[in-house]
Amino acid sequence: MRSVGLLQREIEKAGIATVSISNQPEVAEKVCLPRACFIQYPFARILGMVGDRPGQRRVCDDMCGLLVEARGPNSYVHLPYEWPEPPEKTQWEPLTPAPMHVLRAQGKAPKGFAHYRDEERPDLV
Amino acid sequence: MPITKVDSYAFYPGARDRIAQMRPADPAKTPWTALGKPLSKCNVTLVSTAGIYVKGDVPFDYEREWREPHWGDPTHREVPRAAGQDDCEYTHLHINTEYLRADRNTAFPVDIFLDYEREGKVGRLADTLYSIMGYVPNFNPLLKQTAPKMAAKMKAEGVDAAFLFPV
Repeated sequence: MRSVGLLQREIEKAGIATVSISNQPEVAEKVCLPRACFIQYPFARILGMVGDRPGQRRVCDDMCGLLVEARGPNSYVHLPYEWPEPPEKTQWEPLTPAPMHVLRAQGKAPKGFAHYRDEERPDLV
Repeated sequence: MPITKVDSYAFYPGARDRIAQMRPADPAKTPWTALGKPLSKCNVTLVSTAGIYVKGDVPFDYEREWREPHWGDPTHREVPRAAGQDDCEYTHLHINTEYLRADRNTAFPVDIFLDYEREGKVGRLADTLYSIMGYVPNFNPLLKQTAPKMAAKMKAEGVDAAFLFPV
């Protein structure tokens, strides 16, 4: 969510109105976004279950509503919809763990910025 | 019971420590562009983070991510609005992409926005839609190189509003 939030800010700065959706309001509110809807749905299915077009559309309708109604930056709306499965039984992670998740499981994930090449260091933005 | 406040950790409790360490930006400096016209007159586009690209296009660089797990491909791909569900690959390594392969509208609602266009809810869905691959801890090049290219293309196509869909 952080990288796409930062991307959203850049698009907004370019003169294009933006709205996003996220299940991590604490990240969005730290990045500080123009407009964002929050929803307690899992990663990979942030708009709804496979084939649930009315449910997916309801969320898109809410994003359209916020886009139209927001009157200033940091406009956030918590959507009321409940995911039909309990979170601990909801599958969203890949069947093959991502490379960083493998490192974290081994306790080898890097910290800080020293491992980045200079031109890619996020702290040098 | 309807949700009143979304729990950032409901589906990913392991992210709590990393999110706690994030430095907050200054909300007084959040950028803002007013919409400026009714949505029914707006040209809109979509941005996904699901690592989507049209079959035959250059894939996102996952070979380097496997070699350097702290690195994620910071480039973007353009997805023509005419590209169908099965014309695209859905490739983000950090999520289960089988849902998107079954129904892209779970996180990239192209078909819903085409309906909006037919109904007049939005003026037009732009010719070009966009995807990045959302795992980009090295976000400097995403902001300095990719974002300007995407914004320039949006401006060239007369886009008024962008909808972003992180996965």
